[in-house]
Amino acid sequence: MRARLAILATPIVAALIGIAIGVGIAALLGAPPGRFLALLIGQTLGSGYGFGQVLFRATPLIFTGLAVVLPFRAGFFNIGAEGQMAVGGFAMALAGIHLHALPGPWLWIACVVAAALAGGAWGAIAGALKARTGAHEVIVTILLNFIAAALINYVLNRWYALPETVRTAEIGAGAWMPRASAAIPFFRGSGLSAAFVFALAVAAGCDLLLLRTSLGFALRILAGGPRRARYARLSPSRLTVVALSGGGALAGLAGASYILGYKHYFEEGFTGGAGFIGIAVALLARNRPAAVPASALLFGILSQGGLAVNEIVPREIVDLVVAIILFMYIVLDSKAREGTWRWISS
Amino acid sequence: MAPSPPAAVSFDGIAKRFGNTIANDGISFEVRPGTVHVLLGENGAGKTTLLSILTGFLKADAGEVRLGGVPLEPGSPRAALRRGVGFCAQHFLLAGDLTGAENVLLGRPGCVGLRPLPRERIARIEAVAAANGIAVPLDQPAGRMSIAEQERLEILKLLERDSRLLVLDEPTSVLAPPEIAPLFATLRRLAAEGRTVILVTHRLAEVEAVADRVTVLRRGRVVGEADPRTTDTETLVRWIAGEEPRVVAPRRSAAPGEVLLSTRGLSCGTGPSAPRSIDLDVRAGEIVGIGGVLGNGQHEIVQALTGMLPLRGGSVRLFGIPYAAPARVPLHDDVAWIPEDRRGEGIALEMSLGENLRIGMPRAAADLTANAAGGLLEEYDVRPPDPALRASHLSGGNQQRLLLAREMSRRARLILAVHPTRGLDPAATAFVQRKLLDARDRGIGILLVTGDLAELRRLSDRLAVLFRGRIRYQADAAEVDAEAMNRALVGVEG
Repeated sequence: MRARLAILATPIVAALIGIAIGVGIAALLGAPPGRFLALLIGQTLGSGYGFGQVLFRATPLIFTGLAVVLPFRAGFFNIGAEGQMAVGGFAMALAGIHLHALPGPWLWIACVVAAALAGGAWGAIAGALKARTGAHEVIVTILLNFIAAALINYVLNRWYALPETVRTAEIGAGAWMPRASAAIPFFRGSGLSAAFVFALAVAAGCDLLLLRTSLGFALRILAGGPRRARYARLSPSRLTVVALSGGGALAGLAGASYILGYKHYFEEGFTGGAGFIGIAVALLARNRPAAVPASALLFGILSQGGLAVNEIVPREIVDLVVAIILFMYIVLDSKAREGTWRWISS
Repeated sequence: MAPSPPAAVSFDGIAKRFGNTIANDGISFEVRPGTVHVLLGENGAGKTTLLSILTGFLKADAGEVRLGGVPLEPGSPRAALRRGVGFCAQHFLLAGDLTGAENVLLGRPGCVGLRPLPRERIARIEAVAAANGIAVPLDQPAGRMSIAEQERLEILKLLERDSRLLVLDEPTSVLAPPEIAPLFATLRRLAAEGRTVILVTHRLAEVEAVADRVTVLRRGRVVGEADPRTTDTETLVRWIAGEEPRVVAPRRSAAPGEVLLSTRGLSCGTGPSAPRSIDLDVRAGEIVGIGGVLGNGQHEIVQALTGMLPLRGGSVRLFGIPYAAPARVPLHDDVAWIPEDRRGEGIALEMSLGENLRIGMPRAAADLTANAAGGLLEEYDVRPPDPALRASHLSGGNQQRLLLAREMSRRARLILAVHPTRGLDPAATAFVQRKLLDARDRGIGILLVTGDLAELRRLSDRLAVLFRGRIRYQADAAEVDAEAMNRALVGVEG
């Protein structure tokens, strides 16, 4: 029991240590610790605008975190969320532009489906290559990130970019997700939208899928290797494609959530590394979908907090804090597990 | 009076618990230098935990280990190695991608760095192997070796290291009888040279053959210590089980029915021991046993029958239907399979016991099992019988029981039982054997693969002995010619 508590506590302890070291470094650079913390915390959790921005920044991270978690629970490491998110967002923008005549709810559904399908298809490439040829999904998904960027760049500039820009026209307004500030004045000025609620629902859905359905069970069996899956009368190749395309679809939704909830058009580079931060989000969430929102929230706080402390120290200090948190987590987690992972008796 | 030399190993009040499970509950005993000391006890008695503490893999909660009277730094495998403790684990600790020679030299001084492995070191390994009669393909990756070869490689590692104290956790459970005698001869010789051997086994016959001293553990405590030459087997069994042992039900004569599984000219795999031209029939209500020294093609036959390995020739019929491309279809739901590699196939260590009971089950049966999980675990004496517990928290023997609980409760017409009692204590072995005989009497056909000759003969209605991929001997149980069978085991013609 104590070991289990230690394991649960490690992400929190890691976060506290990371922030403490960040405070120390800020102090070396001449920023008084009190002021540093006041900015970091006050301007993220201390105001309606700040908190709204935190949730807004966490929203795509929830999706990209899930995009890493789902394949990971089947034994695959998806490094391709960045590209899958871009492909999903771009396909969605095309759907939102071409189908803008659809009535609002239908347009929204069409956009979301387009994003999930396109992201899923991008992930399925890695899945199919893995299943067919054994090509390692890490390499393939990394390379697909570059291919996605180049492909989108070409299609965008050839047919869709507005003159002198790298962005599309706005998608049909019927698909936009309502801003939180419209209903709750507390969040005034922040980018928070209903997409956050959508993200929470998808996280809950992923948790149910993995832990309560036979598909999730099959995916978790595959995590023990194709031999174990075959032993369980499952088809490893089919499940491999399902796992990686599922991850791609979730990453595609990350793109959808950002554009539908905030930006309303596709712009090159809009992903801003959210696909890669998703890996860290998944790590800190210990690959439990239900823990992904909390983990994404921490990264949301830090990314918003970086802007706040920029007033007195370089905001890169916060990137440093993120890295330290991850290091500490990895170290502490293996410590917490010592003696429990080797639970053997004759 | 001259003081007697200090004990090679003394355990002094060793205690270790995992959560609510007390694995070691104040264990104290001594191992004299130059002796072979056998550690007995049923599955979960705490043997492996104690050895893990001795070898530094685990840290005791209380108590002290002393080697030659000097305390051993707890929780440090490096310190244990430096003090001459050599460990051969129940589940091998080999690097699958490295060759046999590289595995032996892994972590040895002079073998770290950029230079290729020194040739004289490899020559030395070969010399040690030859001197001890251990045949291992040293230039092959360990992952491609058979389990028997891996076991021999582990032992070779200790010998090459010249360990003063050899700790072997169930080394004989994967060996065939002809391989056990040379191992014991080696151990006796090492003890005569002044080394000390600690050996875990479940086979009481081996205690008498090799041990100078035996200590019996039960539920984490020492319940008995004796000189095996002056102690009878019944006493040991009573110490181990805490009760009179259950005896295997006498065999009933089988009345075989329809043919469930048949192979004609089955060939698969590559290499000198790959199965060639195997003809087998398993009928309803009979046990067909395949025996032989491990690594003579048993593994590949099972792989081919379960769709893990494509056929190179011949045909397979399952329930009367040609099984045309077994490597492409999942195993039939009416076939239960107790696999050889329970960690790689049968059991998901990271999942709960309840989830493990559902692996590979058809949907409806899986739901039934979910409701009856607790009862099933108790019936198969999985300790603790808690469906929510993770399988990684079970001892090796209990994992095997968990696997059996699932596969034996499947509504199967055919059971593939591959080493079904490996690693089980005598009581659990008797239990499993009785379950298999019961299943046979209910009209289920069973293909039994085992390296244990006694088991082969006790359970099989018909048996076949493999040597280098071919059936060298087969007979009905009533007509077995023990000499001919033994000759077939080692490949002697006639």
